[in-house]
Amino acid sequence: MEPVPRSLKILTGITIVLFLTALYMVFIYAPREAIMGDVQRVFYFHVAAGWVGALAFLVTAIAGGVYLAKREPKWDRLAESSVEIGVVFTIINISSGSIWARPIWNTWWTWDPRLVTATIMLLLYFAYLMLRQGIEDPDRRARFGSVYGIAAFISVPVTFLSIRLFRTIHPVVIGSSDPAAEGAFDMTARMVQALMFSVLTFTFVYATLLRYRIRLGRGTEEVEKRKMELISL
Amino acid sequence: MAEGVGAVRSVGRRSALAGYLRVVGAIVSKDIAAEMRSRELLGSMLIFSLLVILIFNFALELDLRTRQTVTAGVLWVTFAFAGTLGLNRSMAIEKDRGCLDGLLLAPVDRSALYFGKVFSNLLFMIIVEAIILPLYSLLYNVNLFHPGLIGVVLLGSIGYVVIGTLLSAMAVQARTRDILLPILLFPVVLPVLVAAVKATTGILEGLPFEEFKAWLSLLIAYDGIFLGVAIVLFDYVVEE
Amino acid sequence: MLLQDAPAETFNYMAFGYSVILSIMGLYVLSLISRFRNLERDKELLDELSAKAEPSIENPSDATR
Repeated sequence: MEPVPRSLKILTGITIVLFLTALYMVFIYAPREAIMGDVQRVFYFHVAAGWVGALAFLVTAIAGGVYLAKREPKWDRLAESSVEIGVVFTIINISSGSIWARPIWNTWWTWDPRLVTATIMLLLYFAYLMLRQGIEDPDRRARFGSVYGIAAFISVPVTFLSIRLFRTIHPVVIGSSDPAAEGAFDMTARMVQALMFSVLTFTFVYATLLRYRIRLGRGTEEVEKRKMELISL
Repeated sequence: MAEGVGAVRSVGRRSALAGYLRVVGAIVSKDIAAEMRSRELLGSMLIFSLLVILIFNFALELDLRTRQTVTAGVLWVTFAFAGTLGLNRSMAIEKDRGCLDGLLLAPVDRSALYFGKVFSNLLFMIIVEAIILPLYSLLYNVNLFHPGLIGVVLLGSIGYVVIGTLLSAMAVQARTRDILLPILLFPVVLPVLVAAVKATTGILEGLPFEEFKAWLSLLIAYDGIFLGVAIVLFDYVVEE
Repeated sequence: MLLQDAPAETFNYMAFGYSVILSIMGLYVLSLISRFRNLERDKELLDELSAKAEPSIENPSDATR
């Protein structure tokens, strides 16, 4: 395996430091929320994870577009790696959102537009992976992945809008006009800082994991190639 | 000399458009002809739709009161599932009989192929809907004959078929082709289903236009956006 | 502030939430590590096999290692 480049080692170090700092900020620096109590602290990583999920999806769509234009395999590798990380963080987003909801509204699931959109995004990711899995030819796999990545990404904001429209017309029992019911709460300056820092940290986490995952993808391709060569001997 | 070149160019342009439309028309008429012979598409879509409505009848206990609120949902779920069948078969026929390769050799913009398939898919979907709607009316004593309703069904079907044709062109080339299309399609086409159901309900309940105007806008916007997206991306799907 | 009720006692849920978040992240990192290890093993295996297959021909990948 090619040695880990220095830039990646430095990035990993920075990410670890940021992550530990974020934990401090979330648990100690940020105050306890007046109504919801400690569980509100979940919010910081919940939002950050949601942000990474969306970012990962955007990267996949753009990488797909570039692949279609340039046909260089590295862009497809980027798209594929980004999807994997996006799936992980979207799952984190949805589960943390659910756990946060439970003590507040006494339910594991709210039909909140953001939560529903995140779930649909997860389904789109899974569909993307299943599409790739079902295609043998690597060139076609990359092409189709790119096409679906773009179409799926474009559908997300449209879906979000349609669900939001649905909710404003049909307020669910939970979603009264009370802002606390929507999960809104007054954020003090410290909370805002903790949130911003968490988002920053998670972006670094995403970038780091992405680079490792791309390395893995490259290595796997090399191994596959050598296997083919060996078989043909 | 200049007029000569101009004349040739305008003839060229006219014949390019004519050639384009001819390919689109050729695909649609080929599909119609094939369907008239075998009736496999319409037959399976119709029977499946009837079965779905039957199952809903028992699953949902459509008594007089709930019927009102649930009709739109039942109809659109039926259309969505039957539509998947149609899209799948339509593309599978192209691939299995090698028609796709033949069509790809035509010296015309690939989008002609896309439009051809979209039109024939839409046609079959509309035929099925045209039979199911009166049937549902009869079975459940619900009046479905509003011009507005027809409009919503049309807009929704267009949105469904526009993206469905693109995705089925990909799904048909995968190993898991039959199960893959719904998995690819349903999350993407969700806004169409949501908007269509809400608009349909609005019309059936006689709500003033203002109330469901937003849903119609959403449908039209979706149709436009994804038509554009699909036209651009279709080339990359049928490249070989 | 003094007039408000005390905040809800939701420490357990927070702990639950963070365990889930950190576990999922940790599991993913572990899966990456394990996949890297498998890759290493595959490479070693391939090196052995290709050395056996053509011992006389110098394995070009040696140059990169």
